[in-house]
Amino acid sequence: MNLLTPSFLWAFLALIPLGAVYFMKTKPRKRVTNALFLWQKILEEKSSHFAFKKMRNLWSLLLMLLVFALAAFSLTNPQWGEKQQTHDLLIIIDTSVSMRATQDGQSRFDIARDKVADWLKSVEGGSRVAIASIDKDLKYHCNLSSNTHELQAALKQLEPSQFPLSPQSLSELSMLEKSSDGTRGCRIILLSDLANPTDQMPDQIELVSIGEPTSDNIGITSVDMAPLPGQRAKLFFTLYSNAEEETELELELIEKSSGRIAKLITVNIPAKETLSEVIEIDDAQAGLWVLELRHDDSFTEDNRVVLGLSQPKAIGVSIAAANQYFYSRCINAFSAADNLLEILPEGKAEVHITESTALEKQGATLIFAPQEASPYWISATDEIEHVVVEKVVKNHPLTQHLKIDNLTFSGARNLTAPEGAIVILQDISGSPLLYEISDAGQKVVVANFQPSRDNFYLSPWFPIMVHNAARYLAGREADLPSVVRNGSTVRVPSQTADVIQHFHATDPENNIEVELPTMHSLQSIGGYSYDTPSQSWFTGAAVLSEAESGAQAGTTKHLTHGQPSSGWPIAWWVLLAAAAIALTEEALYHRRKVG
Amino acid sequence: MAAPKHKSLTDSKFISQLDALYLLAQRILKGNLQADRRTERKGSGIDFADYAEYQQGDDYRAIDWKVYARNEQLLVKLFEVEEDTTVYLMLDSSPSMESKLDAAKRLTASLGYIALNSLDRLVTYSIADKLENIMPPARGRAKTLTFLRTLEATASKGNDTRFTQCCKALQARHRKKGIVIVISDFLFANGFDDGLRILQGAGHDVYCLQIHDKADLECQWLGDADLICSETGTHQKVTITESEAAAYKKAMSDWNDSLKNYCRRKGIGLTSITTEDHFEVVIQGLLRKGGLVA
Repeated sequence: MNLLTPSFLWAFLALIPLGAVYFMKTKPRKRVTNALFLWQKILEEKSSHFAFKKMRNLWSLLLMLLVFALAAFSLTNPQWGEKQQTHDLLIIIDTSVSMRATQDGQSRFDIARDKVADWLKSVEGGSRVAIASIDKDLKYHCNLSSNTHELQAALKQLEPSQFPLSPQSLSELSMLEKSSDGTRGCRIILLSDLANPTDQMPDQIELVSIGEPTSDNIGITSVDMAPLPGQRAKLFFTLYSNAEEETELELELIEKSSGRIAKLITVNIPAKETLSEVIEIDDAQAGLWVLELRHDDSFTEDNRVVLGLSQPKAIGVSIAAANQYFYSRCINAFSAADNLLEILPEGKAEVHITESTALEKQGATLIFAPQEASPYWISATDEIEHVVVEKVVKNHPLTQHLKIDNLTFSGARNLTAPEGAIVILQDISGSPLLYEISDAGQKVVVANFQPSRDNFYLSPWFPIMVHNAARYLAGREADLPSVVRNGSTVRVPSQTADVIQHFHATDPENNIEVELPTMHSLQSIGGYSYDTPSQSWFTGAAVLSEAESGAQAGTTKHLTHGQPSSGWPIAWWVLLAAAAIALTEEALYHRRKVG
Repeated sequence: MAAPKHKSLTDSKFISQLDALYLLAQRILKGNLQADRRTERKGSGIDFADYAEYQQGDDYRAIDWKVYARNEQLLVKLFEVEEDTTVYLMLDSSPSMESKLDAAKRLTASLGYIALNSLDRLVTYSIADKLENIMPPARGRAKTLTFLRTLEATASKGNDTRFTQCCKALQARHRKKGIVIVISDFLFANGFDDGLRILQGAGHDVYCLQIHDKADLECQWLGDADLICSETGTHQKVTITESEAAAYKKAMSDWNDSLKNYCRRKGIGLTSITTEDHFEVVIQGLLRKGGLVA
């Protein structure tokens, strides 16, 4: 047996007073009187004049009949007004970070949850309700059910997240109507603080705006902090204001480890506008930094951003090629520009560049102009006469910023890539032109052409190709961003990107060191530090969403099927009335025992 | 203010208070006490009262022959009859008087003391479920101490107040007319009018001294109560609300009003007091009103 509404079991408590009244012995106080005959006269007059007492037995019968009638009536599940069409209901609560905004001491999320709790009270036997939440994705917390206890329990477990509402999750909403699962044909109600969701909102979703319209929020919507040569850094930030008038405010940039205020920035932000600023910071040490907005508003989560400043080490490159000059030239050019590459002796370098053949067990290697025999290619024979390039893998880090059509691939040979190789570019004949092989956890990239032909050394694509390959082979095709939107996945720069490695990172919630894989999804707002064997990396997770910072609850309620019924069902009140009458009759019975 | 309690009715202080009351009575009722008290009945006394025409059957010795000699008219001499008055004190000593008995006994003592000192004949009874003698008929100042002692020893008794039967018993025992003073709360379940009618019918001058306990006048309790009759022990369960309490107050008031109206209609003297009234003040009031004097 399953109790759909076990809360009604509390009604059994009514048996206690009922029984107590019945079994209660009347123990009136004894009072000696000299005029008992007067009292008897009074009682006689009352009993002869009081119609209720005369008809007491009849009243008792009528009350008990009324109790029975009300109990029976409650079973019919009465409703006010016209009969409503029974809908299954999918209630989706926006749990994005902006729902944490408070109004009159209550968060928007609490307002939404209270409203849903009120609706759930009136769930009747015939209708079903499902509960879901939406932030960075759409999650179901209770499938369609008429069990209010289960629904209330699911609702109780909901909490506002630290994630912004993602466009992907909104697109998931539009799929609901088309889906063939249990939600098809459901009435779908979204409780959200979205200000203007109608352009993204599917028609079949009914929106209930939560909270009162407010226009006091100013938040940080984007931030970046990049190192400059000489312990300096550049800070970029964007603010968004939904205030009605121009506001002057201050931002503090604080070094998190020491608490030192590195910069105090005063800005004037126009009403309903964004404002971007770029600031240079002196003495910017690598580590976690905090950019904090000094502004008291209802939504505080977007007033503070923890961001990381990493000082990437240069990637050591060794060159073992006949035309070493050209390689050195392009490496040095990058070294001067961003200190990203540097030439090191063979034993100390992370990445090696060679021509014709690979050195034995030298690690991550870029090989140009494959010839002779090698474990990294099979039968490099004659040259391909007319190379026609085909992209096998699009948007590969090795080919980014390259115009493939401008590359001639002169001197490319007909060869076969070993098993397990990933071919990125190939000739129309099928010979690979650019491919990578994984050898005992180390990557080897083979560029099948002669860079010395057609003055390729002097073309702008040569240094780009070397730069791409060096970063890719060092696992640093992209540095760790300074800060990302919470819920994003970051890749910790590492040579072994495809292998799940463990890094020591600082969890901002618990401030403890945890082991994380290379690909790490940031689930909490705060700062993260990753200690790899070669160096430390720093990043942060924050709200960074103009939609969340600008969220402004509207007053419009787009409930096309009317307001869902709320509060306890009428049947419940009828039953309560019946219990009250039964208790009254008990009391009257007790009174009869007294006189 | 509650009346001060005396240790005893024979206490010297109390007796001195009674003396003071007697002196006051003498001054107020000067010439009207015992020896000087004359009835309107004409009889065989020594003091000439009036003349009357001779009628058949009159004593020839009463004919004033001198008048006949002068006027040839037969007139008989009338003389006033000197007689003492009998004072009957009926003290309600039923259980309902428990709280009022002390005050009632003081009043009875005062009235009896004045009567004995005035050389009237005093008869004292207690009334409850039957009429019982407190002291046999007595006269003279010498009996005052005996009277007070006997009265003091009187306690509440019986399990009902049968006022009518008691009045009948008094009438049966005493044919001689006198002043009957009933000292009671007059809360008689069977009524008071039959008894008072019997007393009046017997030719007595009846006077009612009603003593209230304030607790009887109003209902002080609310809630469920098991009422017990102080006399019969009968139980009655009742839930007392403000409404019932008000009804009781009204019923009590109506009852007392009915006694007042009956007495007024029948020419019966009535004084209503409470236990808090001082007996001296009460007696002084009675004397000044002359209510006890027929």
